[in-house]
Amino acid sequence: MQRIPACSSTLRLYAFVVAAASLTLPGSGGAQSVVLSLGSLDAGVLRIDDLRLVLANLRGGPADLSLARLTAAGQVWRNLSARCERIDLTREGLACERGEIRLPAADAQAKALVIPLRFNWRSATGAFDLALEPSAGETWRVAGVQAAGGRTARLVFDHADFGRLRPLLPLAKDWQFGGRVSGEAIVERAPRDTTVKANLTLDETRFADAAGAHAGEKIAATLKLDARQQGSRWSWQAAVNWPKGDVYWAPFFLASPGVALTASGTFDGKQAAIGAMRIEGPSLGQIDASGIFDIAAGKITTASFATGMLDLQQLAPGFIAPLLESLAGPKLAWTGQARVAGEIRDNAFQSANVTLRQVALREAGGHYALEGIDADIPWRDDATTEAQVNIVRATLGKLPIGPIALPLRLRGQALRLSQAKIPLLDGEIVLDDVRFTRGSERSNWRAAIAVTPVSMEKLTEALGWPRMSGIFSASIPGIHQDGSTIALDGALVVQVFDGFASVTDLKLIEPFGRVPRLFADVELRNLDLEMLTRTFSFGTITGRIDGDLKGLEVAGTRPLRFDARIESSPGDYRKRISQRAVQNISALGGAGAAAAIQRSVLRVFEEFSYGKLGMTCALRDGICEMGGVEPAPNGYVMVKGAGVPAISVIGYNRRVDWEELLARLRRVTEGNMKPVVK
Amino acid sequence: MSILIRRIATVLALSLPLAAVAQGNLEINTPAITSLKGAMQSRHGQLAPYYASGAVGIARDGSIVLRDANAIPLAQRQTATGLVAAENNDRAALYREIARANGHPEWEAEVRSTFGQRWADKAQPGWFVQNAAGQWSQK
Repeated sequence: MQRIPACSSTLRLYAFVVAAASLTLPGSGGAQSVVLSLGSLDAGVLRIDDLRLVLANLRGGPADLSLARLTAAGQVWRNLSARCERIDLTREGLACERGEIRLPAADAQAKALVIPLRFNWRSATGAFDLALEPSAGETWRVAGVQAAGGRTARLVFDHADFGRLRPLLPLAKDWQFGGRVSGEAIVERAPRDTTVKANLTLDETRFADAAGAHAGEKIAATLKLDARQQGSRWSWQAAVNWPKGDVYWAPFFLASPGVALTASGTFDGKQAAIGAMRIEGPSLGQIDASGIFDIAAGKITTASFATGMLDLQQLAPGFIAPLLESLAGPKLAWTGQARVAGEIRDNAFQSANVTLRQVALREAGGHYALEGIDADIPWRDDATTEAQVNIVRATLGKLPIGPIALPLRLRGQALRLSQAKIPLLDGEIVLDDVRFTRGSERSNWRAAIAVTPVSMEKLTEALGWPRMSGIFSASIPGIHQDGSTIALDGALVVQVFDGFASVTDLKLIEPFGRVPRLFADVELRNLDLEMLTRTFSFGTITGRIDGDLKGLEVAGTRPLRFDARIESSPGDYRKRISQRAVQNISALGGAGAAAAIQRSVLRVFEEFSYGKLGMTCALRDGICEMGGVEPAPNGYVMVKGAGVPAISVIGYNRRVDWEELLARLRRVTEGNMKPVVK
Repeated sequence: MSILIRRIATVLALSLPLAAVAQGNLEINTPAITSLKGAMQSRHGQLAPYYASGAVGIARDGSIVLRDANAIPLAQRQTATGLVAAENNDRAALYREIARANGHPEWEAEVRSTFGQRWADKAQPGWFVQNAAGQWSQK
């Protein structure tokens, strides 16, 4: 076996052919066919078996080269052949102006691949020039010269489809890629170093992994590379310009981003270092990064990155929205600027700094919005840091909240806010001891919240609700979220209508899901009925009322079940009910209820006194099982008369559809139910 | 005889979870379930071409999977990814709701696997369905 050392095997192969020919047949002339069996050739990365050259004539003419097997980069090709229509074989060298390489097809149906080639080799200088033209207008050309100082190889591509290299790259076997490359690369090998200079233009480039999660199409780009090898260490500088083409890198889609990248670094087989990398583009802003990658361990040893001021309006549709969408998160519109910097060690974040300036985000459905967010958030994995987040204005539905100033204390995966007072109309929301911990599977937080007195008039006006008087205040000693459930520790106490409402066992499941579910028990105590009825245009009832809502379960905005009871509060106070309120309560009781009213009395007086009033409703499967303060023959008492003039209202409808009851309430409170007095 | 009894006992024991769900009502309707089904129904029109092209397949576990994104034009892949995430989110909520509405939140896994089978049975010819071994086949 003829063994030739690795490196420049093509060059040595031809040298060997010419040498063999001239040594075996010295001076032989005339037309004489020669068959040279050249055996095998092993150049490390390239191995050729059973190489044969058939020359029609030693001075020139047609030549056929065949090889039984070619092994390169782990791939094997069998029965390759090359033919030259006219080979010029002289002592000065070897030239083939018109030849072709024939690659057998992968299967019997397909045609063999024939690639036209030109080849020229000068024995004196060792210069060679090989050009392959696999298709019209496509050229792959390799030229080499040998000088005293070393060797230079020049690769010139003209619309070369680099997808043809795929079989040579075993690492890329799961990827489809292709495209046209034009330009040149020059490799200079000197005794002390090797340099590579490449200037390439890519066009119509496409790539895709097997799943299609990473793919690009119609990409145009330019690549400039300067690299130098000294010993086993390469140092390099590169500039990439990507003006055109689409890339999908799940979950991000970039359409013609106009990105420019410059980078420099080193590579020694064990580790790759990027000393300075800058990425710039209109949709990306500016990002600087550096780092060291441990190739054997497959991890980032150290890395750092910093962005310039990024325009979120530009960045959000391409980068933030798809991330939220892939998590089925909310649709948000972003404006403002952000800057992010971070440090990574051993594949884990060590520190990060986030700066936000005049950021605004609005939920697409208009449910909430935050405006004027300014934040400076430094974070260290191993130290406590102080962060400040200021929000000029938050809007929850129609309710304006703020300005909000949040002094945060961060450490590792935990966040703490000792106290924040947030203006809410003429009162305040006070957040106390807020703690958030991000877990590997789910996150949780807890807090204490209080709302200091807010005028109900202002609150209801802001929410677009019926105007109520009085004050609203609330105290939540503890609230926590674990996974998708928010739960209350203790009671939520709300002062309302001069009485109070207390909510216990409050649980909110998937508060941001499609159908949030709420569970609670509610107690109403000593509510001023005059305030309440005036607010809802129900007529006028003077007195006080208690209520209980046990086992309340709500899906979205619709109650699924509860046991409700309202009844006059115990105690001694004035109890009067207006003519209109009597009509309205009887309307709630259903068609039959009105019959119980003593009409003659109702016609005479504007208002009446009562002993007690109340209703019960047990809601199951959309049906309200109704009752009153006490039973009546065939019905229940809703208003029990006492004093002068007295009036009682009796209800006879025991089972009322919940929707029907709501419709009745709406009609009554919208004033459509006018009292009709005969 | 004793072997026969033991076998019957084993079969009974194995079929218990399914029997439990069978006793439950998979067609139960609550506002949450109606809302989820409505959202899934309106999304179906957008997903149907992806089922037909094989880009999206019906997974065994009651979810859907973007199994061959290469079948989707590049510019639509982001939208398709979002649709699949939203659909799976709604499906997970649906299984949870049905189990809850039956008064047995612990049935969620069985509801999910029963629905997995149901979606596979209802898949149209040409759609890709995952079998118990995790392999995809075209119906």
